[in-house]
Amino acid sequence: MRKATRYLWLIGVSLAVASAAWAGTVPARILIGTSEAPLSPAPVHDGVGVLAPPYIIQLLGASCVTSSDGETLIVSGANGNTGTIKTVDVNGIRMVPVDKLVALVGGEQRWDAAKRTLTLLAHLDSVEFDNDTLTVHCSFPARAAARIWDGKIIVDVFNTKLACEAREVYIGTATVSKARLGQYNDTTARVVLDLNKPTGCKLETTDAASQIQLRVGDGLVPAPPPLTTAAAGAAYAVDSVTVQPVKDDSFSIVIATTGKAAAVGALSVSPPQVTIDLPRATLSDNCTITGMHPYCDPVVTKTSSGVRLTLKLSRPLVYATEISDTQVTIHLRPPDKAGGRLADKLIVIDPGHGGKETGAQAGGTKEKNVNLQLAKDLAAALSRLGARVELTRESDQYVSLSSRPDTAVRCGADFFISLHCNSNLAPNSASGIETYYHMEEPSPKLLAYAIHDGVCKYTGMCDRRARSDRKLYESGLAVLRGLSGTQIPGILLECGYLNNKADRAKLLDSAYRAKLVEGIIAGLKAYVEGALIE
Amino acid sequence: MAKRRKKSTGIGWLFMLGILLIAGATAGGLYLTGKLRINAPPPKTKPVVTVTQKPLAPARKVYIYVPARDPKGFHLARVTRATRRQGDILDAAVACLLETNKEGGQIGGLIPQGTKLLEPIRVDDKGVATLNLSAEFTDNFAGGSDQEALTVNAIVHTVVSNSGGNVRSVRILVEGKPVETLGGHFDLTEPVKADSTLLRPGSIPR
Repeated sequence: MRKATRYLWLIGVSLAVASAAWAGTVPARILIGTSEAPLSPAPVHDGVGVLAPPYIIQLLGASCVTSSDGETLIVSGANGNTGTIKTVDVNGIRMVPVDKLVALVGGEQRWDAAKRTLTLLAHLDSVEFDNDTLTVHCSFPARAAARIWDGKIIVDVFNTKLACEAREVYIGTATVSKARLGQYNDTTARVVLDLNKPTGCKLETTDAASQIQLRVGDGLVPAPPPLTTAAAGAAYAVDSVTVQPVKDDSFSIVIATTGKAAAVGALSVSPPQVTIDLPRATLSDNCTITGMHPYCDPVVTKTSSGVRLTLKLSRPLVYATEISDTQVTIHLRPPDKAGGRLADKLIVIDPGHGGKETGAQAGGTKEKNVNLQLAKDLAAALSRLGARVELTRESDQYVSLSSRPDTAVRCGADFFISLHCNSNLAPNSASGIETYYHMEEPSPKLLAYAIHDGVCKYTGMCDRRARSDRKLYESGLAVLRGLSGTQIPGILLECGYLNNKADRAKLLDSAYRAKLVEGIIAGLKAYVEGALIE
Repeated sequence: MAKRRKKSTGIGWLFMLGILLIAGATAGGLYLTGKLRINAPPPKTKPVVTVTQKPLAPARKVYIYVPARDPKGFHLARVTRATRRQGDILDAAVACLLETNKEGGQIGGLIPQGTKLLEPIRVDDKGVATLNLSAEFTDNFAGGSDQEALTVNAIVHTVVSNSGGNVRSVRILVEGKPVETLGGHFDLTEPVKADSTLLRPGSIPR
């Protein structure tokens, strides 16, 4: 009987081991510090370790490229460490073994089997002090808070373990004598700057960052700690809003504040409005709005993060923001070449590429030919409205980049529209429309917003945003740079991805091109006449 | 009594054999489906004949910039490569970058096929590096504005990041002559600065 019980126990144990092994993967959680990593699909534990989708790499401040076998990732951490990680197939999805990733980028991991939760903590690798700025290098992004106390600047780096062997770093400037490093508690590393004389400081990195920077100098104040409670108080109050006419159609909105404000502006063409967010501001009980202008209806509201001024406009306007210690001034005016009717304007249309320069090529289609056909369609539609049109090329010929904007200048154009198709490194991976304006020039920016809005609404294509050409290249797009300082608003429209099969089919379809043309004209009308984009 | 003990031992062996079979099948199944990761012993190697050869140059680390993708699109990421190329570090780094066009996938599509560095990179006293590339650089480029920006910025950042602060901008020549553009969007007639938002934050060398 005793032996039979022993055999039964042995069988039970063997079956339990076998069933656990066959069970495959179980769901798991990953906490980066105290915050759950936003990952989809959810991480899993495969009995060996936690596997997560590749987005975990970006969450840890690293970047990666896929090698040619499609299974191995070349990962580069925020600290410069580079290595390869072989992904694991989980139900058809390539997942990254998190233990290997953390070993590569640096950091600590704790697995709680009961809660099936993996907690990741960054390593504080080193500190540097240069040019009155303390830089704290972490293995992956971490949040920090700074304060001045008893002749010292204290920087707490949250969810971080000290991995630096040095506990004191000599600095020896007139203001800061040395930095001391320590582990304040289980999850917070601390850097203390010993000061030679009283001074101020400002945390330059308010979001989680791999390189946390703190500027030290007179007149600076520490940034508040991360908003962990509702107790974070407002820094200033909004006392009043005044609308002041300036000259002709120009006017200003002056927001009086009790302290220096931070202002974040956003522009919309349809409906035409400008919103100015004042983070951490409160609204005074007796805040008033005085003055008026026919173009503008200002509304002030409280938001969860501060105060918002919404300027409802009767037509799209360009704006610029100016901040002083006691007020925020928003200057508004109609954009260059606006007013009158679109039918009275001269538009130069630039079909990109041509001749020996084919542009992008995919599926036997050459970009230069699509651009030219689209330009001809647009020219015909604008001519039907009564507008005058010039093309930088009317056939398959090479035209230099510099002579394209020169055409607009030479013929005194009101607008310049360059038409292109995009293409990227991975066929069928991107789709949609992008509209570029030069640097941050206000009128081209508003024209880009208007035309982009019109084209996206009329075609229903994926909105890849209107954006500055500075995002792509240090000096911007050559044809738009050639218009700089000419008062001719110009944009470059990428009408779809030629190496995307669906986009290419649309670009070759006359019905789609007709919608694209209607969208461009709707945007031009919104800019010139203030018409709504329906 | 002795007979009974012998019978019990036989049943025991049967049970043990059953357990071993289940465990073996489980481990085999897991290994075949890839769920069990085993540190396999290194394969036995055949004895090799030692041939005296010229000692290899020591490997150097260079930074190159390659395309990486996230939900917003492509950007440039810095990776470290080891190279045994001798000569100037900038030439070695650019050679490593140009060689990526032999790789597959998105990395291989960055540099136009067949592009070669025709002569050593020159750096003047204003911190301008001049690269002379072969005609394939412009002849074999067929991308859009995104791709053109990535290609030029990858070259410029590779040169600047390996220069130890000596290079601030890069002039690109093709067959020894200035060119207006690579793909019809961006100007190459002037030196290009390493100043672009295409880089992933944190990938700038310290």
